[in-house]
Amino acid sequence: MINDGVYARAYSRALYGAAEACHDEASVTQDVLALERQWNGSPELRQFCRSHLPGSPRDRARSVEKLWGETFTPTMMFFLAMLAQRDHLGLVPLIAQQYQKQDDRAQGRSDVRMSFACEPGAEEIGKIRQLVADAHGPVMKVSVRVDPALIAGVRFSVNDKRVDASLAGRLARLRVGLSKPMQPGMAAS
Amino acid sequence: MNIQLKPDEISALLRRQMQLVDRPVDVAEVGTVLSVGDGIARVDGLSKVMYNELVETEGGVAGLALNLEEDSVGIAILDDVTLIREGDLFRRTGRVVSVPVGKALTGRVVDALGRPLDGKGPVLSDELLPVEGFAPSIIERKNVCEPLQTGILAIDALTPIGRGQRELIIGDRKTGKTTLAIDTILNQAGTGVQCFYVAVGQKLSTVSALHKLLSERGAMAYTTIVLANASEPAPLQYLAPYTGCAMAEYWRDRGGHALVIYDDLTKHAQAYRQMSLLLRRPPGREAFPGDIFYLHSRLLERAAKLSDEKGGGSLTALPIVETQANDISAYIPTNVISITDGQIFLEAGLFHEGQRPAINPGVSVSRVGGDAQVKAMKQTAGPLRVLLAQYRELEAFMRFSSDLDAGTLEQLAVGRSLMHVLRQAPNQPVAVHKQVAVLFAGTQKALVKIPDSRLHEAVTALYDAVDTHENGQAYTARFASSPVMDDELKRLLMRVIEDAVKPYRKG
Repeated sequence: MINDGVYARAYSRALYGAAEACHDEASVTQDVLALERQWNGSPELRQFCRSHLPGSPRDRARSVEKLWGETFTPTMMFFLAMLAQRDHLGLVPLIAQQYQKQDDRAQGRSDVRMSFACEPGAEEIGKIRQLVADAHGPVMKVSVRVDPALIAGVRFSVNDKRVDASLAGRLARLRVGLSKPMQPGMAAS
Repeated sequence: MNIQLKPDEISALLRRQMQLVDRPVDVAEVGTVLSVGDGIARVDGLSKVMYNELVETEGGVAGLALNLEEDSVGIAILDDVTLIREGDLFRRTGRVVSVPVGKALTGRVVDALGRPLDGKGPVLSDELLPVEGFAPSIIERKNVCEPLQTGILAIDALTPIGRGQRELIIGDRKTGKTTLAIDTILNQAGTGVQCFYVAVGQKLSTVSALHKLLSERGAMAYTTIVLANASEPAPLQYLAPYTGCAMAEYWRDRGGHALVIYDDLTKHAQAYRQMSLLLRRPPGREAFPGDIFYLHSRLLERAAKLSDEKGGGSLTALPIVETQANDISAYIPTNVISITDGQIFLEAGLFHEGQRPAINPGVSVSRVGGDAQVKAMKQTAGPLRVLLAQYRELEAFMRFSSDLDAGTLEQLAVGRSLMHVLRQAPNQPVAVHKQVAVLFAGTQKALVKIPDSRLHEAVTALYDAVDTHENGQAYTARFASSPVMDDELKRLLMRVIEDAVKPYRKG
């Protein structure tokens, strides 16, 4: 039951709580974003974090301090040292993701993720942005990607809400709907 | 079987079904599975999901939102849990778990979601009811006033059950609890009472045998079996009693009468304990969660006799609880005893002595059934409890003394004959007028002079005589028109008894 996702959520909550307690949310958020960039950009860092660091927990904490030195806030450094002591540095990207979600919620920022079957035009993105702004307010974080698996159309999500206007989604709905027995009033229909 | 396929009809059906499920744009509130295991999924998202709301994956796997936490939702999976992976999406359905209800369910075997298990095709019901219904309020209720005959003499005489009552059947394993419940179902033939047997955590072979018996005796014509067997996920075992109750409520709310048997609530509580522990709810006594009392009270409170303004329908509940070593002071038994309107306690010792049904009359009570008891039965069974209590006292005393006076010996003989009268073979319910006849013979000491070895024959002869004897037929006719033990009824009955039991007396 306790898997990486559960750990990552717990760690991100702890980090956010610590940042709030130190009134240092903005700096810690910057650190998290920087850390995520480093992770994505450096295969060596990924290798380092995923491997089991040798020595005692204290030795592992020291090696983290040596690596990042003074580049992060004390809160972030303390947090990374704790992760290293527990051999959980490999959870960094998941923690960063969860932390950003938490930060978005706290700031009232909508997390808008759009997937298009083919390269979208600015007008299409703008329309969706406008729709989201009308419903959830203008503060939003937008990510756009192209997913050919959608076949045609668009799928976008705003926080927990998902709008699927793709052909792949429509076919999937048809498949599930038609594979169920044809009867009125099934509880799980 | 020759089946003619008509392509036009099939394509029309498919087209109609496609129209129902085809949506060009789908808007849903979703959450991502963070972890899944032991039938419980923890989901990130679904921030607006309601408690007890049905959620489902894109593959159609259903779940029940049970734990609404600050940043995640605990979902009990109602289908095959192996179909769910980390990262899958659960979507809200916006409705609580509902099951089909109505006539279409009669004679069917269904699971806790109302899906057919008997291979007789889909349940063609247009009506759905939420499994978690509300109990009728005070003003919607009426006192229990109509009898629900079980056909078991010991129960109908000592712990009578009324329509709308909740009577607990409690005892160790293999003491005949289910048999009592099944006999009660068999005895409802022709009474208009719709029966629902809810099997929770039972072996499939047991339920199969039970289904066969009910089918052979024609009882499936008014019975529905709701099955969540031992191999089903705990959430389905948890839901099954509520499902059976919702199906029975349909009849109650339409002025009909329903009987629902929960077999058994011990396993139901264990299934709920499993779910609660996996959902990380704090454990209490015997590791049960804090709301274990509410689990059963909200279920059993739905059993009621409705007022005339509400149609006068009734829902009678016979929950079954299994004890360990006759200990009725354990957690779940005491909880359910305090919720119900009485209990029928089956004792392993009596069962092994051959006293079957093994009802202990000292501990068994019915708090409200007396008001609903047939008048003649009430008059006849009045002294029964006292006579049996005296017999039990003297029986213990008898073991230490062989030199007893005539009065004591007679009391012992009366007690012995009454205990014999209360014996009854399984699956052979007896009509109330016959019960009264045999009980009258016992309380009037007409069976005292019959040797123990011939008591069974004498009682059987008396049952037959009520049908065949000239005075027996007159008694039956008079009982049907006015079931009160007046002088005329007593006179007719005494004649039948004398003629029927005379050949079995000593000397």
